[in-house]
Amino acid sequence: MRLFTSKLRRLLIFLPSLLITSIGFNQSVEAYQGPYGLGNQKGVAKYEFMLFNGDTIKNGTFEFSSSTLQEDSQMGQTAYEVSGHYEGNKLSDRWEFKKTYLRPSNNTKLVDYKYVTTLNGEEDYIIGQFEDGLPQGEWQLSRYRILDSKVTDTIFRSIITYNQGIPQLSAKIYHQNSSLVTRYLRNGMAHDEWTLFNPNAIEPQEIWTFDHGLLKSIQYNDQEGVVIVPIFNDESLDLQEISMDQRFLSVLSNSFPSLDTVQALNNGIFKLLDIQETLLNGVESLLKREEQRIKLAAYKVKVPTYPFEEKEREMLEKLVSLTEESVRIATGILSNSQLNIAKLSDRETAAYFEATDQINRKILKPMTLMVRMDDQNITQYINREKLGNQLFPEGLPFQVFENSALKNLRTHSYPNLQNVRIADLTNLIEDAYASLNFLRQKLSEKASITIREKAIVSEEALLVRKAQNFQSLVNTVSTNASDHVKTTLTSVQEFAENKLTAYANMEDSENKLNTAKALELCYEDLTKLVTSLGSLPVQKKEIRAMYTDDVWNPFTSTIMSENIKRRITNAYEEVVIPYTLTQIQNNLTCDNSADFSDRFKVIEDRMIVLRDMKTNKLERKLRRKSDPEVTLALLGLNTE
Amino acid sequence: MQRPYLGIIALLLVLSNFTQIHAQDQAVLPEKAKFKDYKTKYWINTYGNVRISKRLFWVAQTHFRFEETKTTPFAGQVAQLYNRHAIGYIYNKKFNISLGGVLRLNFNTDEFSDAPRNVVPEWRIWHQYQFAVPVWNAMVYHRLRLEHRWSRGFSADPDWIYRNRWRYMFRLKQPLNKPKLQSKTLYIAPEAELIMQSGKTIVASPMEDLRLHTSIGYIINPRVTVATGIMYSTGQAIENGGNYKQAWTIRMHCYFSPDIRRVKNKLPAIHFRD
Repeated sequence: MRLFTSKLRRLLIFLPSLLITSIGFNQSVEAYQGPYGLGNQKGVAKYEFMLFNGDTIKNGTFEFSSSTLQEDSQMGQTAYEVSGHYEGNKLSDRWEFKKTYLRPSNNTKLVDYKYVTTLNGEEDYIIGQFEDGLPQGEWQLSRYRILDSKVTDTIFRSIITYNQGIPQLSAKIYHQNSSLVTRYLRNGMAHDEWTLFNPNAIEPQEIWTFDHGLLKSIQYNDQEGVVIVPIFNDESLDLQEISMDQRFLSVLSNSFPSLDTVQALNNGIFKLLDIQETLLNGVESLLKREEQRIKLAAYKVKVPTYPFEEKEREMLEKLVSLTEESVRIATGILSNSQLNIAKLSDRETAAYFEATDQINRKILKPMTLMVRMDDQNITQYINREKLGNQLFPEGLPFQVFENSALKNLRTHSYPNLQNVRIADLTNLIEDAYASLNFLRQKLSEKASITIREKAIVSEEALLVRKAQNFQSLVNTVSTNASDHVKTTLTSVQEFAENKLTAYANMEDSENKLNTAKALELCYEDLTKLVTSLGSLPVQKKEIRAMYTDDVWNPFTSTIMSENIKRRITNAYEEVVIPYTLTQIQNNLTCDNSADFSDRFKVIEDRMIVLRDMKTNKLERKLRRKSDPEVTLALLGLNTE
Repeated sequence: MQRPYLGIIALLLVLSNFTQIHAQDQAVLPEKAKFKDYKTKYWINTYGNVRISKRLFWVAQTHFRFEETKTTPFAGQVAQLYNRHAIGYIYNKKFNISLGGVLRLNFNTDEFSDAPRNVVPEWRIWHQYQFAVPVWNAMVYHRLRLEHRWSRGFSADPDWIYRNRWRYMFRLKQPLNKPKLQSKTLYIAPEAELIMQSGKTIVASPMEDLRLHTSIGYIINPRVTVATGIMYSTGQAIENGGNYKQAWTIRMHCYFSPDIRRVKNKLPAIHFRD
């Protein structure tokens, strides 16, 4: 307060001079261009600002862009582009948000001896106005589909009108073939019937009935006719008002009465709201570190609450922490590169590994949903009597512990399908946790799971990735390869697997690190070799075309193609290539694999030269069928 | 493209005029046309087309024609040995011309003849204009051939007879097992040829021969084709226009077209209009 008065006094003293200079002061807008964090995204921004009492006041245009390429390009790439305007540090005027997510498609083509992969993905595009920091006027949200690197269609489009940050009475959402009309009370509370229409159908596809924010029922059509599913229908429930955002959708999806309903409703209004919420939430989280918190998903709903008893709360906390810990252990085992290599050769390791995988898939995955609910702070809105069924529709998966190694670790008994309570879930995770600890110990005897030299761990991660790339290339290439090439690919693959197994059986040592490095190089060479094998059909075709002449046939007055130098092309197709493939099958080593992949290029070059050379004598010699080595020598392709 | 057809039409008009010529007084025309019993013949024909430059080719054809006699009922005895040579010029893919000469050796096949000569030469100068038209996946050919012919009989000191021959042939080559005429194609080739003649000695028999021939051919490669077929032919006898000869002929054809140019001169092989 004292600071303020002294400031004020100083201000009064300098008021006349301030008045004179303030115009000039206000206009001294500066620009920033450089690294910037928008929400959780790191990128580059360009914006205009003023300094006022040492504070940065954003004023003027604002632009931001970021692009993150995952280390593994298979994971895809997400890029953001944001542009807008500030006025006195408040969002104002028109803002545009674009988020593009692209990943490589399965559509890989061979173009000019290169594998070219097109991209698939989605682009979210949101445009809207702010006034004095609050959403104002019409906001448009769109999501486009990108297939084979082209925008193919609009998946989603929605228009929301805000007045001082509060969404107005009704809004429209379009999704593929359907459109949804939503209705709200003046305070933004969902109300009345929300109807999903398909322009081609007579009946509405789906109707959600709200009563002052409470979702009473959902009506949808299936083959047998109209189905009405009651949702929050119990009069006696305690109600609580929450925003209609991701939390509400989570509560809702955990409140559907059966799996069938979940499936039936998955593509209806729920999906639309989910996409809309994702888009709005995307913008909200981008802007959350800016000066103000923006709430775009400002609609309201009511949900029933189921308060926790003290003991239940404790059990839930235990469940969450044990699940998190178990996930850590399981992930540690499953992603351990050394174990991944070892399980290829050792049966016992493979069995323990499999048990871990079972626990992970059948227990930890559903339990993670519970953890997520806790994270979202919605457990109190979930009817706990139905919870067990919701997470484990087929009953608690305690059979996982029937695995002979884990049998004695089970300490609890489990109810059948019905009556699964939080306590049972906590028991299940306790047993799973004990089993995982046991497995971890057993596996650590097989390989040092705990602390290994960082160098070898990262080297092995690289090795595993190279092995996977190699494998997927082999799969791509063998789809349209000839039989002989296929057998060659199989033998190359076997060779690689043997090398990997031998490596896995090595003791950890300096030598192992070197072997890992050497093996990586070997995999690189083998990958090149597979690429060469993959381009063989194209090479064959081109050589055939090259050795075909257009000839004028005077008797038909037409031009006909004639295969020339047949003995040379026959030697290429029937001797040179098969012989080289057989050589690869029999004599492949890490050292000569690069030579083999170059060999096909050498052969092709030689064929190009022979095309225009005088080869009468050579062709006569080729007529005598003889040893492949002799044929190779005649063609000038000696390996020595 | 248009003009060559005008040529055909003009020629057909000319030909139709010949049919207006009426018999003179020497031979008495019968009331009705008389068709002689048909003869059977056996022809083996080789056709060579040797490419000698980008546009020029050498036509080299040798035909062996056998005709049945009482003692040689089917295969027959040698009737004619044919040597036809010319230089051809490829104007474009659809039109070519040839000019050259023929030496034909005619053998006396009349068993009852006591003529002193058994074999006499016959000389010709010939020129030919051939049009090729693609129709769907088939090819259609129009061939106009003009021959100036000197022949003589088998008697002791016969006079040379000079005649002109006017020939038009329509031929179709339809591929059977391939989408177009290419290597390893089996094709069927129906053809019809009308041969008219004129000259001082031709009084009442301008239609020398009408040949209806269908052959099945196989293109082994662009350079060798073989074919075989059967031909019916009929035409007015020279002594009396009221008498019509008839014949059934089995024909074997062998077509070959070597290219004796050096490799470097061969390219480009197809662009005739460069």
